Parts: sequence; structure tokens; C-alpha cells
Amino acid sequence: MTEETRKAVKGILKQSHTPKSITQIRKELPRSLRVSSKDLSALLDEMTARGEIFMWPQTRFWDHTPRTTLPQLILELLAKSPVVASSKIKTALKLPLELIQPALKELVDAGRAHVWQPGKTPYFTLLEPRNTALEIILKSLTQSPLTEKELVGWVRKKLPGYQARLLKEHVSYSNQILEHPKYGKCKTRYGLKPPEPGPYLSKAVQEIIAVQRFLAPFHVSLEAIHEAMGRELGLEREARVPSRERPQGETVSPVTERLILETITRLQPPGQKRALVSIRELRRSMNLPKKDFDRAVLCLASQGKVALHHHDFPTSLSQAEREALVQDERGTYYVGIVPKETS
Amino acid sequence: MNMNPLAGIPNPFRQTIVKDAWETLQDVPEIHAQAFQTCCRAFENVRSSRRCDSVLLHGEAGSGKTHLLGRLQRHWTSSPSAGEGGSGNMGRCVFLYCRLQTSPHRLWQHVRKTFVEDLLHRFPDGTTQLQRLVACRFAEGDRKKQRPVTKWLGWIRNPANRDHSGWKRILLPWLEHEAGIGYSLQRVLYHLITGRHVLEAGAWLKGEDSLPEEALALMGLSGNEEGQTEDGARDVILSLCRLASPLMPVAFCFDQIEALQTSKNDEESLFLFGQMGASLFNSSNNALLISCIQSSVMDQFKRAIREADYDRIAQREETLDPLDKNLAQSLIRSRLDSNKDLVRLRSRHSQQPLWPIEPLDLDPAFPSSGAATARKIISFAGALFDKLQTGGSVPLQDSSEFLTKEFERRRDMAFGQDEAESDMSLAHGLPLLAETLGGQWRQQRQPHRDIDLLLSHGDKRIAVSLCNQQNMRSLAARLKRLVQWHSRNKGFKMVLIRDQRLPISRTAVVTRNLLQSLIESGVSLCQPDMETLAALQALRSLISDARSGDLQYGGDAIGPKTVQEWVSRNLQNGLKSFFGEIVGASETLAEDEPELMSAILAVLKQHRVVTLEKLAEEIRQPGPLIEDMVKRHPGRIGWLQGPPPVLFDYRPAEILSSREGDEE
Repeated sequence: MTEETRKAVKGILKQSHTPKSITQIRKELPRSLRVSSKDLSALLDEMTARGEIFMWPQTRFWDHTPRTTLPQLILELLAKSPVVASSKIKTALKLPLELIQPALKELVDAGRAHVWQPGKTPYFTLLEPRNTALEIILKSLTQSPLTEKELVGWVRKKLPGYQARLLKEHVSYSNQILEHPKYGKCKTRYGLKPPEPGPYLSKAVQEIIAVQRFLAPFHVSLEAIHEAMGRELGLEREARVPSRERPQGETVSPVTERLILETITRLQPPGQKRALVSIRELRRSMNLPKKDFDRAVLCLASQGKVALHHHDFPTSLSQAEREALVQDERGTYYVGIVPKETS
Repeated sequence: MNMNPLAGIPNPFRQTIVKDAWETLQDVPEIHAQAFQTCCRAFENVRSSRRCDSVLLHGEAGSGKTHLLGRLQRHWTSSPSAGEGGSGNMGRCVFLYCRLQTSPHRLWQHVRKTFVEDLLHRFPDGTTQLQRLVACRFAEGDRKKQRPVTKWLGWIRNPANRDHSGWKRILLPWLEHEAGIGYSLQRVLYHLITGRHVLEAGAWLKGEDSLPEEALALMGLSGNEEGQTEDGARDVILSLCRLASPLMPVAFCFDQIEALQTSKNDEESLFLFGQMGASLFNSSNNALLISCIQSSVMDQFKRAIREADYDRIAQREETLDPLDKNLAQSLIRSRLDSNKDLVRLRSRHSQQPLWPIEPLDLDPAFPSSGAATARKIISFAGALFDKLQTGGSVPLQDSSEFLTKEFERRRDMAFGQDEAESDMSLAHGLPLLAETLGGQWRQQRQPHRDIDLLLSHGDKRIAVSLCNQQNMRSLAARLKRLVQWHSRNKGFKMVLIRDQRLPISRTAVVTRNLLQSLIESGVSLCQPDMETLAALQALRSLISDARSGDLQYGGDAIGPKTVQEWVSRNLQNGLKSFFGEIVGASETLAEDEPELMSAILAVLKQHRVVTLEKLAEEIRQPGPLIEDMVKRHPGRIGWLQGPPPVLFDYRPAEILSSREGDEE
């Protein structure tokens, strides 16, 4: 056994990117330096004792100490599977828990990994749980308000075991999320905007419809009841005057306008409030007479509630294709519609 | 004498089109602020979640899609970011801008080329994105955190360190184990990062298979018989993505998706884009995909691509709305303030924020919806400024004259393109040329990977293959595959196209033999000259720009249909005869009515383009009879349906006469 063999072993382990077994090291030794497995094992033990190399589980050797190498391996694993229990890490890395647990502790202490413990079992993750939960909550609320159960469901997709008590705690950290109160059959919801009064008015709406039916023989319309309610509630009439840019003589009922805006939202992918909706598709979904639909769309645009996108080359379309679009008085054809950008 | 104070000041509204996202421009951050924020959120999401994210941006032509990408580029590649691991103003991502003016069947190859070009993009401080990326990765891996990114960058760029042993100790193992990069790419990146054989390594990385053997030997590589393939290009792109960490994502910005279309009804190219985007999304963990498409193509786009692909490339959607009057005024003010002399003059009119423009004069630019695109506003303001400078309107030239000048300008520029670029021009330009001139021919799905274009008319089929490989081994391999394919598909006429500038060396015996055997079996070889290739490049860039709404004249966009009509009326003999050579392969010498054919050809020799009505009058034959004859010989006579139906001669007189001489 010479110094040369020792150097050769060191060289092999230095170039290697993983721990090596005795057989592997023996195979890589130059023929002139090859020794029996038993002798090599003795040499490796001696080198380990001297601290020149390190022993890894399953009798493998490397010039890297598991203590410094392991954290990097764990981080790589966590990058692939976002939330992992220590037992899974043990299985994936094929290393004993005695080695893994100190490395995990070190990573957590250094802020490079986080503990996520919704129940008994602690999980390890690269994501900061509270911020991650908040980010998911905010993202899922961009489309519409959601109930507690729905929100918990969303967060659980990324943070298994997420519970309602955590939701309450996390929501309290954010000043963007509003709690919409429970009322009648309306459950408590969370949203980014103040609650829409609509759902809270369902009883009142039923009442109004009943009144309208009751007064129908006297030709009292819903519009008349609406106006009377405005007066009773002390609302200024001027508040309902059309905006200055609304085309003269063109008025569209608020019901139609609301219907269009709701249909646009329905046609957009969930949560994508700025997705362009095809005018053709909107027209198909609305089932309104062409003239009414076109007028309502142009009206909404002139009020600044929606943005319209025009077609650059309408002459390249067939007459039928053009008919499906909306045309303004200057001859511009509009192909897409989207609710206006909110500042 | 009162001099007009505006005289001599360059019109600040002259530039209406942003060429790419690397351009530095006047910016108004309030415009499309929401879309900008959405992209930034998606970017942060990639960093924090270590998963891909995507944004689909739609807007009208001229709404500012490319401009927005430019803003993102500046924000991500140069914004100071304190607390980002000491990266200073090193940028936080690898930014890639990819304009999709390419053949949809070479999409991955195009993205690869653009990726590499942008990776080697040099910033004002002299560093490249690749160097910054490597410095960041080294700093990330520096466990003791002894060197910040800037120090690593300085070390990498220092020529004295070129032969430092640390490179081999750190860089190669990192490329192999951390980034999982294969041997050839490892070698090439090693050379590029350490500043050795930069020209050769850059060309290899872009996918130019034409490197001579000695250049390959210099880099320690061997040639690839297959040449560049879509799969190969995809692998390189994914490997390059792995170079970056999720903390420094790769932002892929795809602009002008609609430019991939070869015709208005072409949905296959949109489908292929969807496949490519979804594949990128699925195969990496640090990519942010931002794709821009025109609003008017959205419907077709959704129809054409798979729902699953759409979900991947449109995780978030944003619309670039036309600008209302307030934003329009901000935009105009910003342009007016971009010129120092004008700022000096404007300071005397502090009560008129838009001086010298009257806000009321802008009203006609807005349709009834009350909003107009940024380009329309700039163009309109430009015309007003011209008027103020000259005291009257600047007369506009005829749009046909504009197209002639544009075509000539682009053709002259294209004379500088090299063989690899010409190959790309052919791949993208041939289907466009066929769409423009081949009124009778239908383009079919490619039946084999070596067939770049398949035209059909009745039972006639013409398979076109581009054989512009400069490496003789690659060329021979392709020809061998073509021999096999042709022997199995005898019903197809085959045309090989090879750039005239590319000789086949004398020593390439196998290649020559294979080519000879193909020619002997009835395959045509077509060798376009530089002039034809330059004209084709001009044609494809004109049509692509028109399709994306970027071909603008007098404030209005010129559509692809207008360009195609102009092209068919003003086409050069070179391009016509080139197309004639391709479709002429389908013609047999026997003619059923030689007299009628001779009469038609005689008129076409005289007038290059003639309406059916006029031709019928000249040769005193009924129109339907002529139409029938033309449609039975689509390889000899060009036909545009119109109305009115037009006939044209594919071949210039000299070619025609020599061919006829041969036939005799």
C-alpha cells in the first residue's frame, strides 16, 4: 500500500459528483495500483479516521462531508416537490434521519427553508407559508368574492392541510381583503372590493316584483317603481342623467347594460377580468336583437365602462362576418370588448 | 421677417412603429400600467413558486404591445434591485424578444436563434446576458458568499482569467451536473463564457449547421449529420433555460403571433405556436411566457389551438386598450418633451400643455368609442405637427408608390443576408409567394419532414424541399432521405431548391451522386440567385408586417390583401419566374391544343399581366375556353381569380423563349 494509492483514491473522490462504494473506487484505480477489496477497505477507513475523506451511509465514501453537502441536496429536492415531510426526504435521498434532521434544522434556521405544520406532521418547504397562502388568497379573489370553504380549498392545493383557522389568521394580516358579512342566506364571504349590494337585496327584489305584479293592472312599470324608490330613498334624480359622451337620443336600459357586463364576465376565463371577449361570441350568448345589442355596446363604450377593439381590415371579411361585429357611425367595425382598465 | 419657430425641429412624432423590445424609447408609465403590473406579478410568481407562468397580451395593431415589452425589458434587465442577493443593477432575468416572422414549421429553430442572439446581447456596460447569467449563478453557488455578483462578473470578463484553472474546476461540472447540459453544448458554452472562438461558438449555438470541419475541430466538436432539426433546437432551448435558476427566470416574449400565418385562414401555424408554448411551459420551471397577439385574430387563435395549450400560454390575460383622451395627451406631451429645442420653445407656453398642438385639433383622431390606439394618435399628431411646420398639409404619396419604395428599400437591405438567413427567408417566404401568385395552387400539410412546401392542383402535386445545407454530410443525408421518399411517392413532382451561392464541392462525391440520381429520376433543381432571394425576403417582410398591422401609411394600416394585390400587379420577373420554375415542374410537354396555348403565351409575352376579358378579345376566343386551358396548365400560366380574373406569365420572355427552343 503506497502513498500513490492514497493519492489516487483522493483524486477519484475529488472528481466524483456522488459518494462512491468500495467496489466503484477499486474499479477506477489504475491497474498498477489496484489492491484487494479488503486492503482498500482498510485504507479507506484509515483515511476517514484522518478526516481526509468522509464516510456516507451504505458504506460509500466521498471527499465532501455530508454535513455541508446535504443541505444543497435537500434544497434541490424541495425545489421539485414544494411541500415534503422529513420521512419523504429520507426516502428520496436514501439517507438516515439522523443526518437529515440536523441539515433541515440548519436550513430552517438560516431561513432557506420553512416549516409548515398544519397538524402533527411538520412539512418542509421553500415557500414562506403565510405569504404563499396570502398570495393564493389574493389571486383567487381577483375574480369574485369567495366563501371560507372555497378559499381553504384553493390554498390546500399548494399547502396541504390548510385549515379555516389559519385562513382567519392570514386574512387578518392583509388590509386588502374585506370580510363580507353574513345576511339571510348569504354566507360570509371574502373579497377585494366592498360587497355588491345585489345578493343582499334578493328579498327586497322579490317584494318589488310582487308589488309590480300587484300594480300591473294599472300599467305601472318596473321603471316607474324604480323611480319611485329613488325618490323614497332620497336619491338625487340628477345622479341618473346619462354621461356627457353618451350618444344623443340613444339610451339603453340599465338591465341590458348589466346583462352585457355580466355576460362578458361569464365569457372570460375565471379570474381574468382583462381578457378580451369576442363581440361575435358575446352577441351569440346574448340573444338580443342586433340593433339593440349594437346600441348597448356602443353606449357602454361611450360611458367608459368598456373598451372596444376595432378590426384593421374589415374589407377582408365577408359580409356575414362583418354583420357579426358592431359598427359605429363612422364605419369602424369592432371585434372585441373588455371591461375598462381599473386604476 | 417672422420665421416659423418650429421650422428645423425634427417632427417628434415621426417614429410610429417600435421595431423590437431592445429599442430605447420615450415612455409614459401610466399607459398600459395594469398590463405591466400583471407581467411583473407573473414574473415574481415564477421566482417565488419555481414554476412557469404566462401572460397573453392582446391589443389592436399599434396599441403598444412591442412598446410594453420594451418597458418590461428595461425594468427586468437594468432596474437596480437592492436586496436581490447583491446583484446591483445586473438585471433579474434572461430577456428574450422573439418576433414571430418565420415559418411555423421552423418555430423552434427561430426561437433558438433569437434566444442565442439575445443571450449574447451586449448592454451599455459591455456585459452580455450570458455573462450576467453565469455571474449570478456563480454568486448563488458561492456558499460562503464571499463574492457578490458584480465581482464575479468582473472576474469572468477579465481576459487575464481566461486560462484560469477555476473554469474547468467550476464551470464544466456545473454545466454537466447542475444544468444537465450535454457534451457539445457544454463545450460551446465553455468557449463563449471564457471568450474563446466566440464567432464559431455563437454560430453553432444559433443552429448554423454549416460550420466547416476545422471550426468544429477548434471547439472540440464533431459535425452533425442530421443538420438542424426542430427537436434539436427544442433541446438546446430547454438546456439554455436550465442555465438560469428560477431566481433569474427566462422571460420569453413572443411578439406578432399572427405573423406566423401564411394566409388569412391559416390555423395550423397558430396551432403549432400553441404546441411550442405549451411545451416550453411544461418542460421548464423558470420560464415566463409573454405572448402578444392582435385582437382581431383572438377568435381564430382560440379556435385553432388546443384548450390545454391555451391554458398554459394564457395563465393570465391582459388587454391593451386604446387610449382615452387623457392618456393620449400624456403620450403627446412625452413626445413633445423629447426634443430639447422644442422644450425650450414650449417653456414659453406653460399654460398650453400641448403647445404647439391644440387639444381640440386631436378630436378627429378619436372614433365614437372615445379611444384610439397609440400609433393612430402619434401618427395624427405627427400630421398636425407637419402642418404647423409647413403651414399646410404635407401631400401624401400614392399608397402604391409607398409600397414600391418600401419593397425596394427592403430588397436592397436583404442583399446583405447570408446563406443561413436566405434559407429562413425561403422557408417562410415560399408559402407567402405561393399564396400571392399561386391562385390555382393549394398548400397542403407537409407530408414529410424534408418537404418544406406541398402544392396541389387537381391531381397534380409538387413537393418542394429546401436543400441549403452548407455542410456536405448534412446535405447528403437529406438527399438520401429524399431519394427514399421520392421512390415511395412517385405521384409527386419534386423540386429541390438550393441557394445559387452554395456550391457543392468537388470532393463531395456521394452528395453529387445522390443529387444526380434525383435529377435523373425527374426531380427539378432550382437555384435562385441573390436578387430573387432578396426580393423574396422583401416580399415576406412586407406581408408579415401587413399581417401584424405594422405596415402603416398616412396613419392607416395597409392590410396583407392590399400588399398581395400590389405584389401581383408589380411583381418582378425574378420572383415570377422563380415560382414558375417550381410549378412548371408539374407540366408535361404534350399539349392538347397547341394553337390556343401559343396564342395565350404570345399575348402574355407582350403584356406581363392581362385580364381574361382583354385576352379573350385579343385572341378572339371565348373566356371560359381560355380559363379552362389555364386551369389545366397551372404550371405554365398564372391565374388570379380577382375579380376581374387576371392571367400572368410566370416566366420572363428570355426563359420562355429558350425553353420553347429546347422543346422544339
